[in-house]
Amino acid sequence: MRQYILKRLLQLIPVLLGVSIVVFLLIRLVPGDVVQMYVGTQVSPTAEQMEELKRLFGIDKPLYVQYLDWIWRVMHGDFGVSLRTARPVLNDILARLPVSAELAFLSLTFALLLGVPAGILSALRRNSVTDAISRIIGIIGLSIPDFWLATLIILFASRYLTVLRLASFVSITASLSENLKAMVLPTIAFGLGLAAVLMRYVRSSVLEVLGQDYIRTARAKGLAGRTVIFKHALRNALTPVITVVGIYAGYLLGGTVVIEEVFALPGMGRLALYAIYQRDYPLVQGIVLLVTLAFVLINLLVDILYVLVDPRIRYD
Amino acid sequence: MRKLLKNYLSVTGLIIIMIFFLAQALAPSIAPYDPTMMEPGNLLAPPTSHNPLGTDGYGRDIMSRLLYGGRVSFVVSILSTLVALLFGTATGLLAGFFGGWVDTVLMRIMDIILAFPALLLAICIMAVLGQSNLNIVLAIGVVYIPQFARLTRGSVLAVRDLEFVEAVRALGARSPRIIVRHIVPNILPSLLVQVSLTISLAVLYESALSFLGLGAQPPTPSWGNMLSESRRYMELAPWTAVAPGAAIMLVVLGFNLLGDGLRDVLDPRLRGRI
Amino acid sequence: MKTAKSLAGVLILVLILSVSWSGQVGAAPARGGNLTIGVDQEAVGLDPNLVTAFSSVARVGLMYNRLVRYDNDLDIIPDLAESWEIPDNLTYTFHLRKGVKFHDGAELTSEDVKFTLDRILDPKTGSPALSYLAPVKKVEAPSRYEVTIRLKEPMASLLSVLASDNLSVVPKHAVEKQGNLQRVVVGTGPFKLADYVPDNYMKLVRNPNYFKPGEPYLDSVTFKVIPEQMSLLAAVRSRNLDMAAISEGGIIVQARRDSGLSVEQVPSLNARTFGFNVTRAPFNDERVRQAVALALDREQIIAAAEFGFGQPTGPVPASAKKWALPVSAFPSYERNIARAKQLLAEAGLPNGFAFSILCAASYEGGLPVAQVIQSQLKQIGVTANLEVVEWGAYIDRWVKRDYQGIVELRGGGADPDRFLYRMLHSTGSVNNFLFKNAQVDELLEKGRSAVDYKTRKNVYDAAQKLIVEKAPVIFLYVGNENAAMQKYVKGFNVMPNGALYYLEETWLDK
Repeated sequence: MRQYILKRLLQLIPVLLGVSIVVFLLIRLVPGDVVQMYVGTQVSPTAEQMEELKRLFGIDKPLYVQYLDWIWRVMHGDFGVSLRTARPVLNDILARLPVSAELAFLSLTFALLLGVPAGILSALRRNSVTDAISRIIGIIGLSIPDFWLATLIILFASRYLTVLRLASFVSITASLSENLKAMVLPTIAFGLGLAAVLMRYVRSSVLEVLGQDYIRTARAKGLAGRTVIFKHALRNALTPVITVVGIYAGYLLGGTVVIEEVFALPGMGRLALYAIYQRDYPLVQGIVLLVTLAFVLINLLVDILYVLVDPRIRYD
Repeated sequence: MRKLLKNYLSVTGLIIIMIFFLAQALAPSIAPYDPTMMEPGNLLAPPTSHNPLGTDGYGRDIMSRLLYGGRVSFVVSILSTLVALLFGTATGLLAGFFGGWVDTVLMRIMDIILAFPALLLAICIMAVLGQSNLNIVLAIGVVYIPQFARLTRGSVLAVRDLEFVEAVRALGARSPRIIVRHIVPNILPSLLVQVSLTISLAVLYESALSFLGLGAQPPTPSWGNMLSESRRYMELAPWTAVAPGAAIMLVVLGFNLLGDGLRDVLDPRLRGRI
Repeated sequence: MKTAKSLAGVLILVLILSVSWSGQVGAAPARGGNLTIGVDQEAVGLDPNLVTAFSSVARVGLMYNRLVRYDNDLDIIPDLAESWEIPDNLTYTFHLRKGVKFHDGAELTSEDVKFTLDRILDPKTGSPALSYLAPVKKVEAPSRYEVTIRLKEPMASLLSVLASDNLSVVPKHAVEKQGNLQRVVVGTGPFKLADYVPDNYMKLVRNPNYFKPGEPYLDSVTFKVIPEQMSLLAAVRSRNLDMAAISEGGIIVQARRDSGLSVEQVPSLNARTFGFNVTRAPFNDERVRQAVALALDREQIIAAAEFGFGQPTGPVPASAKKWALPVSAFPSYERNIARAKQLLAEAGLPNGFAFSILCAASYEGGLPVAQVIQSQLKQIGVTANLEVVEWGAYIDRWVKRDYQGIVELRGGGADPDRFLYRMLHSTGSVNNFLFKNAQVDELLEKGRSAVDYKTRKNVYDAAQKLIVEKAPVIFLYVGNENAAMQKYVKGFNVMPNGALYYLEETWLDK
């Protein structure tokens, strides 16, 4: 196990290097550079002014020098400063991470509370009316574009749920109760789709487990249905839940642009979006690198959790 | 096939898909108007016999736009799924069959794609290559490549060491032949399921791109950009949002039901339980 | 329409009479309270001499002062300068208010004013206001409260330029210490920066030492950034916001239907334009540009793109009433398909042609406008393809002049010199149509050097007509500046340039 973890950690290095090169080149291929965005459309600077500004923003050197310079500093924990705000990139990112992490935590919890019981119920009553209804609701939850659902929710709330905070985020450190009032709607808007995904996975994995020989044997031996289900089926149904939760936790830390835009949450997604729009190279690079790292580490964690939950899986 | 037909949910899904597919295919002959024609005196008109689904903020007929918009949504989502299927399956087959360093390199590349924030990738692709339906296909397709690669690789690994493959290999069959003749048929069912689910995700993804102004290019209608434009009028003219919203939901529902049905029917592990 | 207006007039009269009769008029503004205002864009930097984003400019305007400023009728009024003299058209002398304090307690003197102007004039600073000040020769500070600006050549719009928020006066000592003021605020304005969390909120608190006694009335102003227009409406409707600056016409209609809100709208100074690169075929031919102009129907564009909120404009924004010619003065504003086709035929394009329009999905990028133009041009056989690009790519192409047609939002000025010279003089710094016309140049130079209103008015009347005729850029309309607010918000005026100066006179009646 220890060796496996070590091996996986080593494999991180090429992935992170690859991502760093891709993001570095990609953002520079995008037409329009930071100096132009800085100057805007209402002014025309002279050639010397442009050169001066390029030097100021540190984008006057050859590409490979810029890259090596950047990656060298990153290895020493220095992600550079945002070209637009002149604040350290790492500070900007760390200020946003808690918001995205909170949304991730809340909507995953919401989805688990809703999706797992629904999935189990649906599987146990396979092909019943309950099954059909919960599956259709589940799929509908999956098929609504999230910005549309979010807009409908905020519009509805603006008439009938005015006790909540609409598009007026308050950080968790400022006031927990106000923070929760602001997070309820985004949690629902994002969690509904997630609950639908979970429900489907749980349903099919419970079905799979129920069909397996040992359960049938147990049932044949006369063990009461409930015991069997709780002892065996649920435990095994956990595996896909961990997978889904792991993948989404990774994505969510990177922020959900759509939800953040509609509910005006200051999360990672908007930070990344505006960083790209303003060609803030160090910020874009820093975000992508850190989000990638988080994503890969969470995936590793998921793989380790598998072993703990499902003794059949072994990594050698 | 008989089993699939017996599964009433997947039949429903198939029927929904067929209806929408036919509707967009026949758009030129059944659409009442040119989808880009603006009627200046008739902005945001509610549904009437003149405009069965009303008009949008430019005075364009929503019914016609919905029919033509279906073309973009169908073409983009099917093509991008094909892109993902093609590249993903090829990668998965190579990685799974050859193993070793081929496997390591290919799967690390997949990891890079998987870990890279998808929306940022889409924005960059659009900004670098320009905004066109082809590039939307690319931007969406790339995102789903790793899923297909992982799925295929897993299945190949499961099949590779089975006795019959060992047997044909012993008989001197060459790798490409083994892959095509013996491995692909075995993984086809799970790929089919994945395809139907990916198409439905791609329909949604196109609408998310439209929300950010990166979807199909106006004035060409797509369900995504129709829905995105309707945000401005959601209260004043709900019909502008209901039509494309319902269309997206129904088609996604259709593909999901079909995918579920396919899974129940094709996946041998799930066959005939309890 | 006319009856509606006169009816409204009567109503207002009745209202005033009844109110004054009950003795409520002129109720003293109450002090205190916080006002939360929702805006759709985050500020990008806070140094008044450096920022370019509309969103930054609006906030900077609350924390700093200019020598002079505009009121909501677009008249120049004193700000930091109490009075000024113009002995000849090359010399401007300003007398500063005494005892004005920066937020850090230091007194504002003529040295700070001189420092600010010199800072902008230094190309190394990279100030967007540099091109406004091109004719300035020298800035002098003869005494502690006196500043003299000397010009190389006459520039009638100097006062208008000085009213720009980009020319807000910054403290010499703070800039020398900090390098720039992008992140710290040391102004003289009614509000001080208290707390700033980007993409979340910015809190400004009352400046107790503000030079206008008693003002501001509010204890604090909190900005909230809410990118989605519908969410802005939801937040103001549910009273999470006291006020929201809304740009989308459809959302304004919805806000107006809400009996709990009051909505204020004024015509904007920003003009929507459709320009050409006049060095590229087929738009290097004046007749082709005129044909396109004749094929457009501005009212239809306004109806679809702005929900009807806007008015057609000539080269001077219609909201700058002192200078703008009524659009009836421009013959080409009457749509004429036959004449347009005839012009195309004369230009050798009887079967029309195809070209592309550059636009972007953001409000400034004018995608809805481009869609309507595209549809209207079909009627003269011209095929316009839309090139919708991401905002950064749009700016890139704008800078390189790499387009055939482009839809823009031009930040207008109340003085025609400030607006037109930069845009249409052959040496203008934002003449990205690459337009060169000796007659236009001559008129713009005349308008710049003349001083008295009558002469200038005649010159600009001629210039506006000539520009419309040459059509390097087609001026379409000016939209509205809008604010939706709670009924208890009093004393606020929406300004045509989007500035929020009136927050210093705003108070809460609850």
